[in-house]
Amino acid sequence: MPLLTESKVFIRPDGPDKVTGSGRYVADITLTGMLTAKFLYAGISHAEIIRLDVSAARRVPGVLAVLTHEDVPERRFGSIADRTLFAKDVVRFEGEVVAAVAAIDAEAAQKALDAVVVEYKPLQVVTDLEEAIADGAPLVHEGWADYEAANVERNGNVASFTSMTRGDVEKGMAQADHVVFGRYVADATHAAPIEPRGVLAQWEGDRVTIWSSTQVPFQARDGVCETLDLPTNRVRIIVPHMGGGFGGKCGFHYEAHVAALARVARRPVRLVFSRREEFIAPDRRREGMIIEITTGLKSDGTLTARRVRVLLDNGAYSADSSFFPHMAAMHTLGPYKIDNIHAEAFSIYTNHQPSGSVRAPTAPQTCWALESHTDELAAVVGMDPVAFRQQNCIDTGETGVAGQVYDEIGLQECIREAVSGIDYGQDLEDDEAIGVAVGWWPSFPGASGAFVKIDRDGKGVITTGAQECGTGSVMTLPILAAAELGMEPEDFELVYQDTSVAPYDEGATGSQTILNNGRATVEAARQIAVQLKNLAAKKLEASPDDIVLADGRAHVAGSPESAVSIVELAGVAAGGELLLGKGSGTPPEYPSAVGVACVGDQGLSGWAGPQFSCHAVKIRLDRETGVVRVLDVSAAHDSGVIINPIGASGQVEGGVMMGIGQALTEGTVYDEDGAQKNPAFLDYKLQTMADAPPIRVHFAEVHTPNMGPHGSKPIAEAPNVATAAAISNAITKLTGQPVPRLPMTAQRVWETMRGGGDG
Amino acid sequence: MEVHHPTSLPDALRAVAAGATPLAGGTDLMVEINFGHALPDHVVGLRRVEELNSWEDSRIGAGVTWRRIDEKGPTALAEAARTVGSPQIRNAGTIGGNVATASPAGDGLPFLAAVDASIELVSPTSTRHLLWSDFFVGVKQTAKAPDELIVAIQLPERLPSRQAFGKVGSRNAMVIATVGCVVTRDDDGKTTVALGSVAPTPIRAFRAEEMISAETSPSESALFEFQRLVSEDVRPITDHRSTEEYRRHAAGVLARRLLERCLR
Repeated sequence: MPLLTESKVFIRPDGPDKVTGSGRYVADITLTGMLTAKFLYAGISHAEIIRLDVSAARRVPGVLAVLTHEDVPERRFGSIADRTLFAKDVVRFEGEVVAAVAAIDAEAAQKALDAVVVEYKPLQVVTDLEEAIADGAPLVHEGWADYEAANVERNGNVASFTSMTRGDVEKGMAQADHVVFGRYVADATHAAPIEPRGVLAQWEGDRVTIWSSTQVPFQARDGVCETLDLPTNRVRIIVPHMGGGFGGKCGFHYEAHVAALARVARRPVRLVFSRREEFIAPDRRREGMIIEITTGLKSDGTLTARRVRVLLDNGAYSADSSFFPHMAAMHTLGPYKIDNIHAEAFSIYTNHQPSGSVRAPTAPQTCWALESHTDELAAVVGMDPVAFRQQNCIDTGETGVAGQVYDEIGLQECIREAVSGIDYGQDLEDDEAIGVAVGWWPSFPGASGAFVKIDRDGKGVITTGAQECGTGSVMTLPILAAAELGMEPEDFELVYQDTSVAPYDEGATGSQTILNNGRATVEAARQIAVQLKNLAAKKLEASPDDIVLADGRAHVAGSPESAVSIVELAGVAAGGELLLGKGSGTPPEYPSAVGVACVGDQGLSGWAGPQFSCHAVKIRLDRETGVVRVLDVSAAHDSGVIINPIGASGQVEGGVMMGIGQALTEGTVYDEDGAQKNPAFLDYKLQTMADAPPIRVHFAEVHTPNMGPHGSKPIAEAPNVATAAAISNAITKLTGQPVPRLPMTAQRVWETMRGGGDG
Repeated sequence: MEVHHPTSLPDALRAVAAGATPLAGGTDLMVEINFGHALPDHVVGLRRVEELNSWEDSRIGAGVTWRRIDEKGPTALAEAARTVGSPQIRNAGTIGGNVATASPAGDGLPFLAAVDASIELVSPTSTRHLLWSDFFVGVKQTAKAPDELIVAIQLPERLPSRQAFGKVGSRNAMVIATVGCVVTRDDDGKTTVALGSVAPTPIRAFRAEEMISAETSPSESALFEFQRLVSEDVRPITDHRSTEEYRRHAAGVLARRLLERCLR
């Protein structure tokens, strides 16, 4: 039951600013005396720093600060503490920051960079995943064993490792009538938000204010505190409008570098990335992968065993990637009923740009591999791929690969509705096909807080740590607060981007705003509801328990004419006990998985509130050139009860478009030395409006207890899981065999058709 | 950086002769600057030079934008214009800029090659016309002298009755062609085929032209022979965008299809 029907359109409050160009982003903010920051990058993928001399750079006119590792505290950070703000002794990827300068303009800053003397002794570059974990491979981090890391299995170039075992995989394979093996290789991709990141820092005494285009202001603040030795209450992160993030702006990036520059220069300093920097420098790239899956099945389609091995390109550092092997293992095993499983996943250090959370990390690639493999399984036993999934996918009350028993879930409804939405049985031209794939994605309960207040005119403000990066908290949180108070979403403004004002929230990461901050906002609003009911009870001479808040009024249950407006009550409260609510509450607990032996599972072996999806995609293949056009998409999602259909549909449409890009055009190409060959939109092709097919969205609104408010589950990442897989399965129907490499470019499709693809 | 904004051709020519980098729509030059491949310290903006924006019959001023060509250009050139970048890029980018950059992937160039267009070059002291094949000499290299400015593109008075442009690329808009191609066929059967992105300069596939021009009503096998000859005649490379083998194949397929369109 949506709280806001599609018949009533709630215009997102930040929308007019953004579409008219009047919205201000970090790059639009100018402070008096502000300097320009620029970074000196390694420009070489693996080398020892023989000499680093910035004395000439410091003498360049107009330069007020030049920093290297010598100028900041020696602190390692990251989910595996393998990183420092500035390179020291060794550089491990081309975009590693060696020095930073602040100058009166970009030209002076560039002159300073040019004046830095740095000499390297090249070291052997590690780029191949299999070679990196072979005996005797050169180490990306000689000192890996001394790094701090909680609950992470590590060994040499294996940055983190997960295994999962349940049942007896050998026995399961022995019971199979068919054993099918598939190997799939995915190229790295990028989040590619349209706004390149910006950071602006200004000190006042020993306190610093940092404007940053971050999805996670509190994580950014904590990173600054950790690396520059500052208490949390002296670092204030403010986020103006953001031009997208898609995970690429999660984590802690350059806030500390800019703050350190501003402290030395004694002036405000602003950093704004170029597109090239946005491609090569941040530790947020979707990892390349090698995925191997072996599945045993009976002739009736029953799955008896699955063994998977996944190699992930961790890149040079581990910002938040230590949990990726566990995610990859679960996604490669999939939302299927299989009693005998064994999975091993390795995140491997290389001299590539570091991997990090990009929308549904590890999922699109592993889903693409698994679901391509699943269509092969169906073909082996002569079953229709949809019927095969209906038979083998988990349903309510059934047990998943990790031994978790699922409460009510909507995966089967998703399959049914996705294929119905695309008219699966339709007559197709001989160059057309429909592919289907299922996907899943976990929810991440966590701490979060919100304040709500109603002022004397009955207008409200929600002050929250949640961040708006396009995911719709500006819509959802007012809807939730309004629903508790019988008010309209338009009655609320959001103050949502200031760590010194709002309570903690993890930020726009892990699709968790509805789940965590939604819970906090509802709780805060409920406190005000109690206050309003008490005030109304006094006025209407009734019991507070009998007061109903609806349509902007408080009335006595059963007597709608006995009412007082909320505006009037707010006026009364303004002269007495103010209408203030604060909410946080206890996050839902993670379910425990049973019967699965895990190593390095990062505590997530049971998936809280898993979201399910099925995408069905109709394509046309030009058999002569390998060019694929997506004609139609039907996407069905179980994200629980949908709070805001406009926002939720927008998330699905955007996720599908990203998925089409990952399927067909987006892929980073590296040279032999580990450098990116296409770090620009000239050669890294996102999908455009001209490529957008019709996207039909269905929500399987399963009321999910113990998750988000009103039976909701998250939605932001789940739509970016199954699209590439569905496209792959459509292509295979026309080519006869899957394209074993992502993205499935026209050239690769053509090579697959003539045999001898590059695998 | 020194910037000139001349309003007359002589003033523009003086600035060019003094070493200024010409700036028309900026859709190539600004990319070069953005990538750090160019950092001119002296620029001459050409947009206010009226002589460059004129378009009289078969003489297209160098400053004519892709948007104008899309609206009223010859069939295949208009088709090419429609695939140049985005609406914003078509509003800014000019045919003269496309010619001056001389990228192998320049969207407008196969048409100029297919119809044997000439480039009108003017210096403070002279005017000359160079046939396209004499003008384009290598990857982003032309026969233009440093003191010359491209002022117009001269098309033949009469163009072939049938023309078709197409490109193979990775998506539907704002794409750099993996292969671009123009095929023309006149009422007497005379056929030309010109291709981009498959050699250092735009090229013609003369053997394929000769073969198919002799066919008054080409059979299916003739069409595929045409395709084969085009694939043989092109000289593509392998880079991060595609392989030589794929480009060679796609060039032939595209040329055959455009020929089929001309024959319909």
